[in-house]
Amino acid sequence: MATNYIRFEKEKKIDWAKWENGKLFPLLAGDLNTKEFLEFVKTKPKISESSKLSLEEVSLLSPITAPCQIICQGANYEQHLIESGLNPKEKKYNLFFTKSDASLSPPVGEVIRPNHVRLLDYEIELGLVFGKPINQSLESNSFKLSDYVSALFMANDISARDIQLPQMQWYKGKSYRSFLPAGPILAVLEEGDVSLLENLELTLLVNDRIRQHDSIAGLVYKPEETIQELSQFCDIMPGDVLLTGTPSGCALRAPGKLVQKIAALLSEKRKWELFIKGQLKRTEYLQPGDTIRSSIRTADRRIDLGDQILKVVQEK
Amino acid sequence: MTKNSSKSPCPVKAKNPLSKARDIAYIRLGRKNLKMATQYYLDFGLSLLEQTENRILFHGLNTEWPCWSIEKHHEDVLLGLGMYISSNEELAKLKDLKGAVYLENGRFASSNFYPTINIPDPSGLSVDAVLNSNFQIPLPKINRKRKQWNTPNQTDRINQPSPFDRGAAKILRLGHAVLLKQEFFKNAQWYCDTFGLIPSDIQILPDSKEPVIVFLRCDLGNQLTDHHTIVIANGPDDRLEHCAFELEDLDEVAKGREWLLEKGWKPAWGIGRHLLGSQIFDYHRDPAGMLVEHYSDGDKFDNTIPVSYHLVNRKSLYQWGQDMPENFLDSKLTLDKIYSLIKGKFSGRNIKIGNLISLKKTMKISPRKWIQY
Repeated sequence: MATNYIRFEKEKKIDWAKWENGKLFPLLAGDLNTKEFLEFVKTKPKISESSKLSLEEVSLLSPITAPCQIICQGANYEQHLIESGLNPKEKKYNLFFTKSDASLSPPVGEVIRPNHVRLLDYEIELGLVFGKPINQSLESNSFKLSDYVSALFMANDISARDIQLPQMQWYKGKSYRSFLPAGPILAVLEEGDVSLLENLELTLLVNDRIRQHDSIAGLVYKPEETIQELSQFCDIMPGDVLLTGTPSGCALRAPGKLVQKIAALLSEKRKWELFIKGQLKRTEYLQPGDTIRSSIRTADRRIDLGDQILKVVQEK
Repeated sequence: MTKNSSKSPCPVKAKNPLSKARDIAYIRLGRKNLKMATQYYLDFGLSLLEQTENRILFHGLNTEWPCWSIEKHHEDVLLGLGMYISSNEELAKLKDLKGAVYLENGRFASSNFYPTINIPDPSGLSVDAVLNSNFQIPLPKINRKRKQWNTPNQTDRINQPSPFDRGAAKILRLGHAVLLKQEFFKNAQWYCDTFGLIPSDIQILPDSKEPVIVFLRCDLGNQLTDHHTIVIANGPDDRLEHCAFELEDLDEVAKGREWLLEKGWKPAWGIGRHLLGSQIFDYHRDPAGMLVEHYSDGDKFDNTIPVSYHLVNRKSLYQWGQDMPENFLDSKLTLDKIYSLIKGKFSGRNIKIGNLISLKKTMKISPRKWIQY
């Protein structure tokens, strides 16, 4: 069974702790980055029962630390594809993009909406943490997921849709500071855990109403084939992460096929004006004051990536 | 109004609940045939506490407090339930609720004298808050010798076969009640706000993602409590779906099943192990057709475990066990239920018919269609 760790701050000191049965057991590891921490836990650190803490006593931090490479997959859940007007069976390629590591932020805290952004969206995702470098093309079927992936975590791929789509600025639209709340848990995998992945359920609520819910079984491109494909064109270092895409239920809703055809006849400027006008009618986009809660866990709680609680605030 | 904004919120832990219930105290059932009900519940494994012409009180082996009251009534129906609270402050706050009635000597004056506040829940069910200042879940008084198990690593039972007790199951306590409600959210949140219950697991519909079932546990701080004490589920009418009683172990569950089958009573579903809550379960039907459950080995949580969300379907109900029989979930739309629905609608209740249809549809899908008994 995976072992759960969190990174936290208490009295201005950063440390890591083991998370077990609702309690934290500080490891006195100090301010290690994710890569160093993955090495550290291999030494099987001793855990003192006497110094246990409760969640209320600490500030949770992202278990993923900058600098790191953040690779993301787009349109990777069947239901999300159907919702976006695409046929999952006809999906021909794995869509990759990246986020800036400046967007990493704590799992309990704030998401800041930049002043010029009106279409702020949420995307719950399962994140994989690489534990071994990849610097050559991997043969498919010649490796196990656990050879390269050491841990799991929960991510929220926040995006500014009015920057991402009309400006074709995926990197910018998805990279503002606080646009990647991560954690709280870094679930370090053990032999056999990979078979449990399919049972993981992702849930995201805005103001206590469920917006997204799906299980990892709904992934179109599974982690193995995605990693194999990544290995063909990029190098990966321990501590780098892969976000595996989001289920259906985002605020963004693609216009229907007919509307898209008509829009194709319009000027680029006019088309995106209409797009933004249409999207602004949707009540699902995040507004200051909204609370986003999310969790990823199996029904039997054997794998549990914890809970994110985020408040949306306007940039000051 | 957009589709989204009309979606129900999920019930949440209340910031300042009026009380923090310690456990479920009792269930009060109305029964036309008291004699048959009494015989059934003795065979089921409850112990007789007090018998009068119009009311039979039962208890579990854990305590001498009544946990099950069968009262003479013109129809077979749920009359009410009781929850234990533990302080005068809580009692005072509940006293101020609209419709609250103070029963100084408690509900069952002859057998206990716990001051009780009676209040209606949002669907009008009679709910008693029973003040028991020293409340704690008592340790079971079990006389039976711990059963010896032979495992591949350890042989505890040497030179002897495994003895199997016969008789009614030894019921330790009432564990939980599952209530069907026409107005899901309103009722579920009321139990959180009034009794401080915390959601353990919430089940949602596959397409709309509307919550339809919530497993609620008591908030005992860092003390452990059952994964669920009250379950609220969306239903076409307001009623008690089932109650569950705790037994010592798997053998006791099997023993209870054997005894009820021998006596000619109707089994319903079991034996199996639940997914949410993990209990080993065995369901039966009392003479009125109501489901009752024997269980053992349930999950215990403190207040640190967060709520979890899952799709509702038959597979989500068990990890292993006999397939759920077709007639287990009473999803037939009888005239009575249609009447209840119409009555509820006319009285201005926010009933989501779409959710009921969707729930019925998703619960029909068997996880193992290929098995035919």
